Amino acid sequence: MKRAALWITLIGLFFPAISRADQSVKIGSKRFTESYILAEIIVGLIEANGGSANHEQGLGATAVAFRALQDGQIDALPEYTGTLAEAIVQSHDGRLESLRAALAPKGFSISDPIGFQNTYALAVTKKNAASSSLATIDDLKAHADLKFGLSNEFVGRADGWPGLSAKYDLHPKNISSMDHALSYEAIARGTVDVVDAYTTDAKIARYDLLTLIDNRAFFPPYDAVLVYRSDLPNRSPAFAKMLTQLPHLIDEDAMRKMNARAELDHVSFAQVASDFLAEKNGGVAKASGTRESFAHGLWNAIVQYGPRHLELVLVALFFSTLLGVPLGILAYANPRAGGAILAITGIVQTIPSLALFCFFIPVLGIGVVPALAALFLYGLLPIVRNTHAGLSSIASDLREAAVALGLTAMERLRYVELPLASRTILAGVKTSAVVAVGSATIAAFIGAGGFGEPISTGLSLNDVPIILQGAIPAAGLALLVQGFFELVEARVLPRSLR
Amino acid sequence: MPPLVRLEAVSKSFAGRAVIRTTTLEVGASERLALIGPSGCGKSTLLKMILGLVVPDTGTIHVGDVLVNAASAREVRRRIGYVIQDGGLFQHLTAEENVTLVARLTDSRKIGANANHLQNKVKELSELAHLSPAHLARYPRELSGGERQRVGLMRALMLDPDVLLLDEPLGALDPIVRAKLQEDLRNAFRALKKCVIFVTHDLGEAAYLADSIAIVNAGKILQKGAMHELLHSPADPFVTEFVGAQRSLAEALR
Repeated sequence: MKRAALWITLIGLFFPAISRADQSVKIGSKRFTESYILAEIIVGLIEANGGSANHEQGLGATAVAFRALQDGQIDALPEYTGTLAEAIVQSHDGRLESLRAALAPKGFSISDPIGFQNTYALAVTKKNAASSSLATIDDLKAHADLKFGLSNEFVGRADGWPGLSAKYDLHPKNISSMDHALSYEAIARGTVDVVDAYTTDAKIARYDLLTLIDNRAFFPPYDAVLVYRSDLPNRSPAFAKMLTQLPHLIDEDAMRKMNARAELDHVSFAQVASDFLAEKNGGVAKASGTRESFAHGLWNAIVQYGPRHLELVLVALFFSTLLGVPLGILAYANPRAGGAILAITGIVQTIPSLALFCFFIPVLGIGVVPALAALFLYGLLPIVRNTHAGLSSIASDLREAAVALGLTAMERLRYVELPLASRTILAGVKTSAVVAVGSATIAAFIGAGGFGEPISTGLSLNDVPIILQGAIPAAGLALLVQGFFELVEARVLPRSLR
Repeated sequence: MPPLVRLEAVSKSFAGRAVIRTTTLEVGASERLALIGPSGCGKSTLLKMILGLVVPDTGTIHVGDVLVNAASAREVRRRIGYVIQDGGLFQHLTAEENVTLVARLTDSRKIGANANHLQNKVKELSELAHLSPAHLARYPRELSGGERQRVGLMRALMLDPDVLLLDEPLGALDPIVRAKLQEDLRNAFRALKKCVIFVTHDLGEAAYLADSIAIVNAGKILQKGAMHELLHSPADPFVTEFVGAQRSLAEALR
């Protein structure tokens, strides 16, 4: 009876995860403030038109988000014409009609421009600009000793640094690439002198930066648009109605202000979006919500993300154990197969976790399921290895004594060998669980939620308190899991094995 | 009466090294036999052959009229009690759980699942082995070496086997415990009237516990007989040498 209850509980935990498919329109966003806010505004507009929509936040970089759009994990995604041309269509032609023509056969449509551009720019501190008399990108040529701190994406794109440096014949001695959110800190501290920035970036003003004039007109237009699956307007009348309201909805100034409210005033994305919509509708913006206290935010994060995080860990751990223990037994019983099993599970462990998470996206889409698959694979090795080690470490005379008692192989395994190895096996499960708590924080990058969500949001906002609201509960959960297993050890194992 | 355990012309090599050289051995149904010889002479291997733990390269082994092979090994093992040095107890089970493990897994055999029957058998054996209920509730780690050996004996006798095999049962014990256990084993063997084969390297212990002694050297049984036969009509110079090498207390005091 107890066992049946356990099964039901575990299946119950698993099912809400995989049966999340619903009929509402899913608006995706990439991992930066503007994308979050735009997605929230679009969700708000769809709802205002009587539809149902939800926001699948923070889908990593362009490739991950577009993959999700392709697989139908999301229905629409705020994008920029320049990004679409470069990263998706792979051409230098960023005109809207060309992009529409290129994407239509793939089943995607593009809305009319939302009203602002967010193009790349190079920025320097105003102080540096004055002392080195910098006003245009051309002026950088005379200062080869300036240190460049460029975002990873910018360094890699043809319409980013490679093209720019060729066009302007720039050859700085010192270039480092870093996460975009960190480059402002770097320039503020003087670690770097030149960073890439976005024209609607809230921090340009905050850090007292000057964007250099693109005097050779290198950067293509980056008009904000909405990419969506072409069948969506037919599926959702509210979405179709929203598309007519979208053109020229937001200008550059409005966008920069919204970015600033979210990043600098720490107003939630949803709040920024709803204030904007309220204002558009002739109403007065609600009093800008002051930030909740840290403790309150921490508590909210635990309540909001804890259950999902725990669900990810428990379900993955359950299946890791379910497969890992038999694999460990097989490796012990058959040394030839054992070598292969241990080698393969060992290799899985060496794959960087984010890579493993993304690896499953083509097959399993985004969200909870690929996250579970990756966590499950990660959890296998400690369990397989410890099961194998625990069984192999049983003294040969004890093993022989069990044989001599006339027990069958199954009886020996069940009543002698597994119990003797139980302490080591349990330690493997514990390791696996603690690792899963940590790895699950990365699952947020593929939209699986959990404590990784505040961490990734905080990272993209460069907001340490928000990062901590994810990191502290995750660390706490790891300790809790550790403690739980120590309790199990004390309660379940006979005292002679402790 | 035919012998209960018969090894006929058995031999065994491990990695090209002969461990047992064509040897024949017969043991009667209530005979108490000591296998004795220097370390590595093959005496433990002979015990393991009877259990089917080591398969001979040539020759046959019978327990009763059952030929020991892969198919019959498990059946044969149920008729044999096996005690190894330090008892070979499983640490995750209490002494009593160790003793009753096989009986609890075996419904339709001699002991049965009948809890009463099980309890009576445990009680009977604990008297034979001189162990109290308090001892039986402990885990192997919490018992002394001699006590573990007594539990090992109880476990071996639980299914009321026809044959009892002991592989250096007293090898790791200090002299006082050892002497006491020798005495208790002698009484137990006499009370059981079973076929007992045990391995030792102590001639005095062999003479005290067994009625016949087989001297093993380099994978071969050189001579099997009562102590006085070994003393007075040795079949091989090694027998004379081996028997002569055991110093008596009297000799030491001279």
